[in-house]
Amino acid sequence: MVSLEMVPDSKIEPRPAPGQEVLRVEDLTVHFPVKSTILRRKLGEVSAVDGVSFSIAAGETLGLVGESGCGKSTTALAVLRLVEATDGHIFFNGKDLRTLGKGGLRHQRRNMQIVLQDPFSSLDPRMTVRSIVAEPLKVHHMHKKASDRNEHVNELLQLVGLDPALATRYPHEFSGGQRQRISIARALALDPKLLVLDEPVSSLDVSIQAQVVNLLEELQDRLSLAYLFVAHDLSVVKHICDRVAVMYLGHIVETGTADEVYNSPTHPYTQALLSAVPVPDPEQREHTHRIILKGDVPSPMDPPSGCRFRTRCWKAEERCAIETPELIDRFNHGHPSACHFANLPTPAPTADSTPKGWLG
Amino acid sequence: MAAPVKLKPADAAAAGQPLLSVRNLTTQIATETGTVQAVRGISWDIYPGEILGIVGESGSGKSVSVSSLLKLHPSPPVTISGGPITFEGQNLLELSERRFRRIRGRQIAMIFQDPMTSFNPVKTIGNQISEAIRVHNRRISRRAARARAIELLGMVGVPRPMARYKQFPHEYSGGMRQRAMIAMAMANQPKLLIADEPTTALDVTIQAQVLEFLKLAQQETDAALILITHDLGLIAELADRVLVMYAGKIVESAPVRELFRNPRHPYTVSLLESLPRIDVETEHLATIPGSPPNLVYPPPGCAFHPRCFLSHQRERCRTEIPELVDLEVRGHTSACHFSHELDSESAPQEDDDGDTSAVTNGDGGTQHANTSADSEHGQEVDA
Repeated sequence: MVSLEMVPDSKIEPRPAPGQEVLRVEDLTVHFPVKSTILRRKLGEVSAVDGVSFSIAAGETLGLVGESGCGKSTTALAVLRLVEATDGHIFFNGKDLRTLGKGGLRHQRRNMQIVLQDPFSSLDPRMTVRSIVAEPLKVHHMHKKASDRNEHVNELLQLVGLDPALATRYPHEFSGGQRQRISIARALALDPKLLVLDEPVSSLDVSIQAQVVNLLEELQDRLSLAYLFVAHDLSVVKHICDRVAVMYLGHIVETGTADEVYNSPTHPYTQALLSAVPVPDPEQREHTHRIILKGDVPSPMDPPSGCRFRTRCWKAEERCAIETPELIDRFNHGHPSACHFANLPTPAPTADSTPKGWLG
Repeated sequence: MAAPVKLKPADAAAAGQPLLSVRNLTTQIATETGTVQAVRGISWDIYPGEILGIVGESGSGKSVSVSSLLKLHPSPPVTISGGPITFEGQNLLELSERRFRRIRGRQIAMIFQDPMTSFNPVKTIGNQISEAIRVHNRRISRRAARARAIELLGMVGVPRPMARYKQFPHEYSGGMRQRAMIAMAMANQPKLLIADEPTTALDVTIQAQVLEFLKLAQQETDAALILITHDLGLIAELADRVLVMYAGKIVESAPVRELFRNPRHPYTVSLLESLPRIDVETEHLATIPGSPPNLVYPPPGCAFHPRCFLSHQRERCRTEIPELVDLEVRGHTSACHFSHELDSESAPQEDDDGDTSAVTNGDGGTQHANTSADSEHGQEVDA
């Protein structure tokens, strides 16, 4: 079995025990200024992420789901300070990342890595696989001798299921799934505690997607990594995530364990989202109750007052326009939802086999 | 609007003539690295009013096989051979470009994946729809075409169609553009609609909206619909009959329920098992080792044999190209020498198969990557 024992002892930090909190985000807010093209005058602001809070423990996967423009990727990037947050706190390893200077941040970044969606553009086409995977090791001066570094790269490639003999090749010689394995090897090089996965399997075909999903699960078991898994594919999220946070226009509208959210969604948006997923079973065609939402997501430059979902919600009333619903546990089952009229679904929209909400 | 009377596909088949019938279609694409055999001799029919799903992964030839029907590719580099392709008694491959234009866009309309690039960005949406109407019907006045276009936009749920008529594609949202695309395709009451990944670029709630209108359009015009997609969920929701493609060939075809209940090609079986599902709990996803073959050098024999869990290194898989053969259930065909070993209804071993494939893949991606690397070498050797 491959391990990461190549990392010199002096450089290694103790691995948090499974269940120990690795990341805690409080009231994270990211606003982007919108400027006029010529005079660069500020015209307004896009509130991409607005007061988002969550935490992730070692060995745990939190899924951020939502549609394009809901702020899920911005949240992921802000956690790593790849975009700067406007407000809020990001506690990683007990330190608030937003207060760290350049050196301190670089030191912490060793423990948090990202895998991006597109393995075609996130790997430098002019670098060999070996140099791609070795780059983080060089940046952080992990090895004194090049031979040690090479051996470490070989171990990493084996860890993600690639033959080290292929290390001299260039990214274009690999298929999409293999490239994503290279990205994962690079992300694991510094033995991180947290991996941010931004749509890691979205560009892959089904058969290849399953390989990468299984690899991610095995690595998590072996290394007790914490994953922040950003995706729009609700089936993949259900499969891989322990907990899920559903986002809409920069807010978390519902969060809970994957089972709770999928089996008894209480926010109308979550209900609509889950009901819209095509189920690969023709027998269920007649039995699905599909909720079709009206219209499109409003512009985040000018979000609706009160509840941001109210413009597309079939339950919206006057109160929704005035009062922003808080993300609180409304049914006392540890599964908060941000809707004044949250309810447990009457007919479970997705599965017949699951209990239909244990309060209803 | 009156409730559309729709023939059940089985009735349509019984009622006789296919609307479009493709025989032995072969499409080759000349590239710098060699000739890609994108479509390798496929035959299929579609009947009036039927929804035919074509499913496959990237590079399986599902899109090319249909877009080459419409001669949408420049030749060279694309060469189409085989045939005949019969649409309403005429062989499409022999038609002159002039006569072909009367069919394309009028009798056969296409909905593309990316509505951003399939509309002309410098003309208004309304103009483009009216143009599509007037190109095929010179006698209709500008004003009447405009009224029809506005009506069509309203039908696909574009809000305030009068105002939207004058807007440019960039002023529409993605979902709305795709609905305008559907409106344009419906404009001439086509007999056959081809939708190539019509919702892949859209979010799931928008996808649900668009699908509603696609179904409506299909019922409204009573057109036959070819739905090309990689999403087995969409196929299960919409299609009457399904073709599964792999490496430029049809490997299985069946009525939709039969396909999902009793898949009889190892590729289909593996594909269904590797799918994470929202409605079923799965501990470990089954995987298909390796990756799809390079179609410049397709593997000898059955193209799927290097990745197949059923092949067990059997000689026949490597040497003999399997033909599509009829199975017990009417309309179910499979191109596998050993498809009888998968018959879940006579021998309920499907679960065992599933487990074995999961177990062989159980100890990680290591094997798969090696296998695929090996098969890459293999191809180089073959070359």
